[in-house]
Amino acid sequence: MTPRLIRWSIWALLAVPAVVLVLGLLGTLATPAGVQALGSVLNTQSGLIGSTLAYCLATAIAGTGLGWLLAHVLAMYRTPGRRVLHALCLAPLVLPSFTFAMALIVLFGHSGLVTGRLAPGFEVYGFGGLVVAGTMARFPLAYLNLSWAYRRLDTALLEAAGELGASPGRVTRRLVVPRLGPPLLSSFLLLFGDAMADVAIPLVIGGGYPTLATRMYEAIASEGDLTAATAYALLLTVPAVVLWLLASRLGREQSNPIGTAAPRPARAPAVAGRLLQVLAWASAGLVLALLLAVLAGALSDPDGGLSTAQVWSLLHGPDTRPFAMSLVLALVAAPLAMALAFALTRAASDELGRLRRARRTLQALAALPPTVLGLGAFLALSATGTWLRDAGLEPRIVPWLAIGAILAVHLVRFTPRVALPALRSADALVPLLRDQAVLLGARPRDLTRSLVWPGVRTEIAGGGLATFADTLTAVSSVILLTNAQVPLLPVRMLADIDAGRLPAASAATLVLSGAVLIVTGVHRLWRSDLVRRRLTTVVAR
Amino acid sequence: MSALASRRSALPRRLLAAGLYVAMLAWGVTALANTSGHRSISVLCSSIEDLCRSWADGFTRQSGIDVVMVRLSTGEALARLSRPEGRREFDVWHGGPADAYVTAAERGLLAAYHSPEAGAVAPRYKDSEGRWTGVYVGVLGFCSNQLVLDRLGLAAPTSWDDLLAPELRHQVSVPNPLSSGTGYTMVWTQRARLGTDARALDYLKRLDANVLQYTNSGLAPAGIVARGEAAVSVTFSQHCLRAIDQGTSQLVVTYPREGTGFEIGSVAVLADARDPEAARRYVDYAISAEGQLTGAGAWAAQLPTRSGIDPDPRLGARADILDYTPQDAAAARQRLTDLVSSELR
Repeated sequence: MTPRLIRWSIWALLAVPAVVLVLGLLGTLATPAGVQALGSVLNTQSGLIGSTLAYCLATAIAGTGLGWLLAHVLAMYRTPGRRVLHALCLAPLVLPSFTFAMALIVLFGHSGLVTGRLAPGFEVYGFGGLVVAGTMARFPLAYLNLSWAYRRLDTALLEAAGELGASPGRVTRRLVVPRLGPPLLSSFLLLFGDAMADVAIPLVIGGGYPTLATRMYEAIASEGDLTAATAYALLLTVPAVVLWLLASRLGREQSNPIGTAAPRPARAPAVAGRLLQVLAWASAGLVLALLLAVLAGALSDPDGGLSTAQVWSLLHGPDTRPFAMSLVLALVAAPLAMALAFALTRAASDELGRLRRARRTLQALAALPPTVLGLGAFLALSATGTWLRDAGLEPRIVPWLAIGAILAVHLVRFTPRVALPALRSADALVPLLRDQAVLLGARPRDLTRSLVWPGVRTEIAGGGLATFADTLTAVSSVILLTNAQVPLLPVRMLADIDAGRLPAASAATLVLSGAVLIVTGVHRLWRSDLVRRRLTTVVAR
Repeated sequence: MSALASRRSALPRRLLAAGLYVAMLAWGVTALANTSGHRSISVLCSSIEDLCRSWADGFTRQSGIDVVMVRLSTGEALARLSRPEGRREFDVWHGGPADAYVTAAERGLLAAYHSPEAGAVAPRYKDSEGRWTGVYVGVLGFCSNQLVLDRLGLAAPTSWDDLLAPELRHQVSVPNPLSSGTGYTMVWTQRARLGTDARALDYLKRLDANVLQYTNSGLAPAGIVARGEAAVSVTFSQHCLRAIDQGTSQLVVTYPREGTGFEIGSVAVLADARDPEAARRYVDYAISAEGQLTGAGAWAAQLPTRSGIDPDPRLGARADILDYTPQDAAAARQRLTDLVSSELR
């Protein structure tokens, strides 16, 4: 095989499922009924579009603000309990997105543990609760983005300003904030797009608050109206793609895979800094309270005592299948996304122009909202099922088709997210690769092993871990693809919450987060060696 | 330290990491293999989940055939079965109002089967062509939490208009008429008692101000009221009695004096069943006295459709039932759900 053929083959692995998913949508819309449905949605649902934008705007502002607050406090001040604070900032990443919505109901619902006695008239359902739950679920994305931006600040410049008499507040205003503009804006856009595609949180705590994503889900799951659902999907896709491309230009290049160490502190806080610290700890305290509410719900029995029965039934009982299916799919999807991301990185890393083209293509793919990808896979699955049926082929293939569709959605969704940081790191490798290949005559295989892999493995491994967590807890992208033979635990949790079975949903949260923590442990076992070897190399030099 | 030595020192940690990963994968695959039986049928169940499981377990005990049971609300079940891949997914549909079964039959989704057990079921509770058979009856009522009502200073509602009280703002839980058969029965009941679509829609719009959240499933409102999240719910009374029997003694069941709707919970063999013979055996079991009494052995009894079984006296004995035929409700389904979808959601 020639290098060009190899490159095309690697791209085809990602492009074929992506094209199938998108074509399914376009094929449904490019009919008279599709055009009519789109027109009807645009004409009659302006209120729906407005309410969706209001929810996304409020969540993105609050989430970015909270992410900035925590990143700032951890990066700029010596704060007691930094590791705990950092861990609490990352905790939402290992949970299904709607966990905090459920926990808010447990604590602040009409019969909540807090409001039931102290504030009986408090209303958590609707816009307010939706924004708080959405903010708690998404602020870690802004926190990671901004923590990385803080790490890139020139600390020598900040220290020099302080030594020359500038107060911490003045240093923040004059030196820090101007340099944080692009990552702040990119975080805002990232959270905005993520909120637009979300189905689960509005279903749990929306109290009837309408959003485009939930209407799309309702149109297909309850009304069986494919064309209306596709019209809603298009309305979701256009702003999401524009926002993501803006975000990419405004600093997503600086984003990093999940960090496992807290940022370094710089100075003792002044009065304003102490106030920010108090706010940061109060926010983290709310995260902790919500997590404890989930834990208590998972380990409670109907009589109010302690019981592990619900957790156990997920691990070894009648409810095992949804968890086992979710786990196996995540364990398979993560290494597949890592392998494909590395192959793409290697195929593009010979030349800067090729790297840029690859980055642009992957950014466009990453912009597709997960809900829309799920709908595309659903349409493709339906068409394939019909074709198989007409051809008289064995119907037992159908579960495998669903598994294939779920894996395809995960690959199209997460391969770009793993590959993009790796492609950024590969920038520096291009001249090295060219020199080694041209001047020293090194073989491509040796270059891959000795240059490309060591240069990008941190990004690939971190992206793989994030992929595992996201695939295990995904709802929006797979909610239309589950079936009797392929049940998924997060989707089942939504049904539990709908029916008021919060303890069962809490137990499922506990089991899912436990699985993510075990795989995080696996990741750290592997990486601790890499870190140590890198340190050894630096010392040796 | 040389690169070789460094790699050697990393080996135990990497082996441990890889071992953990493979162990998780092996556990998952083994669990999936263990839950895939030899001969099994897939049952789409639109009733109470506990009851669905009891039915499945009872059939497995009787026949030795495993049951993969999936619970979906009636509206979602109908939408799922109407899709090509959904048709091949299930063998039997069990539970949920008969009007949805009439729609499914019109779409060619149900297979005709005259079960020998159906002889004991009155003609008004079954399809003359054998495409569906009623296995229980549910009466739509109000399920209220007395503690929350006391706090609000209200009595349990006895009229549809009682649900419009300003004190009940965000305190009424009702199922989504688009996804739930119970929700559609509620809409149909308003149409039946008020006489026109416009009046029914007007009532539903006024009720909307008091609705806490539209739930996907028809039995969910009873659970929400049991937790004290809402004061009143509209649901089939057996769901409320189930919660009471589970220990939520503060719940009370009342019925509207203007009249209420009811459901004929049904069962059917699906036209594209993968194992039609096993599906027919399941339907025999569901219609049989043992199948209809399964509820009595679980949490709540449901009104039986068979003659010769004593009904639970708490279920709908005091209710004034409006005229209802599954065919009429099915004929209005598309029109009424479109109205709800465009005007209310």
